[in-house]
Amino acid sequence: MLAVSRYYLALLGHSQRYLPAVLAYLALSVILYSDPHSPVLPLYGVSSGALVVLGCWLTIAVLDIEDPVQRLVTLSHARSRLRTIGGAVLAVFGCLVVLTVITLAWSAIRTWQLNWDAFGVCLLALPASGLLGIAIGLPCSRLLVGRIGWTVLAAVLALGLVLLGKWVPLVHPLITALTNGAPYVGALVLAVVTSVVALGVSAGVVGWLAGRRA
Amino acid sequence: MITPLIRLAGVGKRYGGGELVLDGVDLTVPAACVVGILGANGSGKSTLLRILAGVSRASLGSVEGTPSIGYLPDRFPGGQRLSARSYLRHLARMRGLADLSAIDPLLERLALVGGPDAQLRTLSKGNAQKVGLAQAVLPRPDLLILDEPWSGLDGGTHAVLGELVAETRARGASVVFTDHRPAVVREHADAVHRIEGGRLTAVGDPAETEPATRIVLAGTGTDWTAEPGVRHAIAEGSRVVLTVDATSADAVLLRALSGGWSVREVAPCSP
Repeated sequence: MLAVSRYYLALLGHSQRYLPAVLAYLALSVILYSDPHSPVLPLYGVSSGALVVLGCWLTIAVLDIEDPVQRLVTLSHARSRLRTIGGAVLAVFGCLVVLTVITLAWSAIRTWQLNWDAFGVCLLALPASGLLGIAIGLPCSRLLVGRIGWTVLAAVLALGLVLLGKWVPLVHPLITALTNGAPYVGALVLAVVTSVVALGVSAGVVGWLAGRRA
Repeated sequence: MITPLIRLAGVGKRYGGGELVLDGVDLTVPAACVVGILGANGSGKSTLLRILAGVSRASLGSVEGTPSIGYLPDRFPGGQRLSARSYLRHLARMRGLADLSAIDPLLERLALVGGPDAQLRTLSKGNAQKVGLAQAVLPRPDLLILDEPWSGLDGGTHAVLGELVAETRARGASVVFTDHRPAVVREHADAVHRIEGGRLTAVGDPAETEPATRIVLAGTGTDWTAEPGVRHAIAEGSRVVLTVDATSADAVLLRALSGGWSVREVAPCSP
């Protein structure tokens, strides 16, 4: 799966489709963490929301690079549809981990404080949010949705539902708790668990449906 | 008894709720055999090969056997900024290949315009097809599946492709390929099938099922199509590829040598 992951990273890097979303995220981070006196937990809440969107963007970008026929060639070498999906997920997750570390380092540099509790929240909340973004991006990608217009529509609707829907118990409770300064431990655990489960379900269902349609 | 490399039994395929694209296909591919499949556009050739390659699932029937597979689709799109060498390296690593030194010589043999550093998106249809062919043969699979491989290739690469098919069979692996031209299929295949309307039938011309020998000669001067025992003679530049009755092979070779021809290759066409 690592070889598949490296291949998708190379495709993503050469395509430059990551640039708009990553640059927007970095610009947001620069603005968010510009005030050294601001408490960082609400800012991590905003960054978490941004990483949901970024995870979704990168997943769709990496899976839409290959022509459907070329994807068959990749599949014949990887020998398993779940291995190709897993490789793509791993590639995107690697990018999100790098961005999490950049966010953490930038916030630490700006505040010149080592708040280990807050760092722990950052290291759990941001990757968990990214995983949820990947879980949303998989079914919206070319694996199931053939036209880019429908992809955009489906992704925007799903992201809006997850980020803004108070009744959706995924990352919304965590983002709300962090930005409002409310107790967040339960919401953090919920976000981590549901993100992992959502990704597993999404990858399994997308792999099964893509296999049936092939 | 020869163990088949892969066997399809009663295989059918439909996309969505549509009609069957393939219906009741039975096909056995033994080791060290070249199987050619003839068929017109839309007859189900590509679907059949996708099922053989394991990248598409049969709706009906069963597929037995899990050989390692090299697969070339009917059109190889390319389109990325990756170089041909980099692309092939990534695919080889997916197979777990540690020695990647065969990539550059293979691309050189296929005369890839721009060389191994050429970006996939800059390649013409024919050159993209060469990269597609390279990715299929590079891992030396047990079963090489080629969907209209001669399509878009120049004359020189036709000969190289014929050599690659012969080399694959010589090392004990098998090849399944499609084409819509009977002469091309008969020239390279040990067993020929025809697919029409999603149904596969073995081509039953008795003359074509007799053992045959493939002879490659270099030289000029003789009209081989008129010679006794010669089924087909196809000129490829300064070379001629003959398919002859196995019982006439010695006589044809004798005539060739006495006529000043150079014998480049002699190989059985039938398993």
